[in-house]
Amino acid sequence: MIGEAELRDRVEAAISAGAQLRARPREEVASLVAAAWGLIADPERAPGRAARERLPETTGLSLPMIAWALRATFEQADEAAHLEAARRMTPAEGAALSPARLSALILAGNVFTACVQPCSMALLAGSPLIVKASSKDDVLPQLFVAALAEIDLELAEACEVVTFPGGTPSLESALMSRADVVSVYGSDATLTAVRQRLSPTATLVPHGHGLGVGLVPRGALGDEAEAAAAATAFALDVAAYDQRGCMSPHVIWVERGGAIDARRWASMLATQLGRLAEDLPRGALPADVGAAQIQWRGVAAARGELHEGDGWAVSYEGRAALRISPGWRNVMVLDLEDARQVGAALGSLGVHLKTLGVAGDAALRRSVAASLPPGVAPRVAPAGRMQRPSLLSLADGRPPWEGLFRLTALE
Amino acid sequence: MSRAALAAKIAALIDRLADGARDDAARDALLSEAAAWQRTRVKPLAKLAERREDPLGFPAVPTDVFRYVRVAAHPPEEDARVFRTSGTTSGARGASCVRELDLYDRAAKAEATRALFSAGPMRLVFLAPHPEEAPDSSLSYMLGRFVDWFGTEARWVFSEGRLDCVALEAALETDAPTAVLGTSFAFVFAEDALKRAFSLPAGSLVMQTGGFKGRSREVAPDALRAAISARYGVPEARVVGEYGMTELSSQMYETTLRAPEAPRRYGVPGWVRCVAVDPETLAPRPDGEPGLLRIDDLANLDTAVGIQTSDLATVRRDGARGDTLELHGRASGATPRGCSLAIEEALGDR
Repeated sequence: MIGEAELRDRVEAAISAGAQLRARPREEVASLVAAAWGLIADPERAPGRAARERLPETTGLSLPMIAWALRATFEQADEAAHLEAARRMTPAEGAALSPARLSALILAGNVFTACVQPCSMALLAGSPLIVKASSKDDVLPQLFVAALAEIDLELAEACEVVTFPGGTPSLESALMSRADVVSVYGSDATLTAVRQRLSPTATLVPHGHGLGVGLVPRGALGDEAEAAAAATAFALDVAAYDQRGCMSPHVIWVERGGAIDARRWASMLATQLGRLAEDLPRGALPADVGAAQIQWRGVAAARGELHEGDGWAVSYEGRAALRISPGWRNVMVLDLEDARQVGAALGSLGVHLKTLGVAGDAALRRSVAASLPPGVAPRVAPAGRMQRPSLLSLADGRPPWEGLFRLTALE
Repeated sequence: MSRAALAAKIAALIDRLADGARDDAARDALLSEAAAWQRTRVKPLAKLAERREDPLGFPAVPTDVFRYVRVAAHPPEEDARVFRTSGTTSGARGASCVRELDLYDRAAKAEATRALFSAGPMRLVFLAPHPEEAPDSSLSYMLGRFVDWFGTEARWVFSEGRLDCVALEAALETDAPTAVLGTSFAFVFAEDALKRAFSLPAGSLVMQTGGFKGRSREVAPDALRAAISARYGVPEARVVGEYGMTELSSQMYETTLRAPEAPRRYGVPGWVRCVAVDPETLAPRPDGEPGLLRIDDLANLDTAVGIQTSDLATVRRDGARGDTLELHGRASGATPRGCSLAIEEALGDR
């Protein structure tokens, strides 16, 4: 385990590299960062091979799932996306961008690609970065720094990756002591602990507990083909990262009045999950999740209908209230009288609702987004893209560069 | 077959096995018979049975099901007693609906006699609410029955979530062998409140049960046992853990009173079948390998004989000791995991 002195040295090293980083044109940094990710995306290159070799063990995901996640993430994190992010960060005339002297990023272990957006954004903003990766899985951030070093050693020096067990106060304090901004992915308990240790002048960007939900409006259930398309798309959302992500759907509401009702649609979703189980098999089930799965499926079978197969289950439970799924591809389908009621159903989730997947076209998404109650600000994403946010997607309703820089007004 | 006839067969088997005798073939046959009887009367059980063929011949009802639907072989108007779980973060409480308490009483008395009170009645001190204060607590009900079966005198020193320290100290000043029985969190309250140690007379014992459920600070089982031993002046071998749950009618106790040298494990009564199962296939794990604990309890005639818990356990066929159970704790489930979930409390009604 890293010691406090070494950690402080690494923090100082990252801060020292900040001057070189800030001296670079933002567009150049964007191209170099995108190129580093590109090395990992490419299964023929050494970083890409290493990712595919090491991630199945550290994440518990199957190799096909790893390959899918890398492809799905990096096709949206290419050079064009990075250049667009750089462009959007450029302040309006009359203002200058003042990057954070150091940003700290504390990652969780549930979705291994969660580091991509915050790492890219910090470097684009000109803020050196220290990443505290999950002690169980630090593969992708480590590979990123290695890939960056292959491309541009000076730039790589602005990104340090460390791991140590959570709940180590002296190390956590050392990690955050020099950071102007601390971005945290983790449980609400983790956020609370970090908040208590943060200096009053540092900015906390919290990414706490969360979940996704899905909606199939009757407008997306005009016929069998539309309903099947929605089922195919949502099946991918459920299967992605084995439903361990904070954007993964736990429930999918199906509006009444379409050509296909919720009960039948649940069986269509089950069919698609069965197909995905062959192409993108689920990882091994941990014992604690197995216990929760037995309970969750038991309730579904006892009070509703349960479709289950090798590594997945779909329940249909009528108009019951949402039950949290144990993840690992267990999802419930519920009836919804009117899509306009979805806002009321979601209000109690508040900031925990990270993503609302909606089947159908953009007009349906706009209509649903307009009905959301105050305090609820999920990504409203097309079905099939719930776990595939773009590099520029808002994170918890905030710009992805939240806290990474302030603006100096030129008066 | 009528309930009465089936209950009589179960009662006879409990009586026959009460002294620790084993007849697993008779137990298993009667379990199958009871499960078949329940399947035609308990709707959730019938639905679970339709789900897939169970490796043990009939399904075990997951404990969460008791929170969402009624699991009973009789209509609500025939409930003699409804025991409720202590709730979860969402506030939903499971309900175990009992039509007649005879089997519950018979099983509870038989195993407590063997595990705790083989020396006969003694003074009882309870660190748990009186049954009149907690009429839906199966633990309080059982402890109330203990007064009738095993008590020469009874003191209740825990009420409305608070320990009556003065009453407890007074109850511990005695020359008569005493059994102190209560929940683990109440014993922690007592540890925090009592200012001195006591020396209960030889033959005294302590029974502790249950976890902490956020009601007190958590203390590791070994540490709590050592603290209790020192506090009350009873050897650690006479500090006995009880394992029970609202959804069950039978209880299990650590076997340390009758086998003080053996590893600390829970004894499984002869009318109960414990099986560690695979979480995905529900198939029994080999003897001695850990799995999720399924408990088939013949005394559960009014609900479901098969109960699937979330507890990780190892079951051993332990020769002369009969079957024993080693608990590894509650499986934590998928809650705080990365940025995923622990937000059931945010979800409103259920």
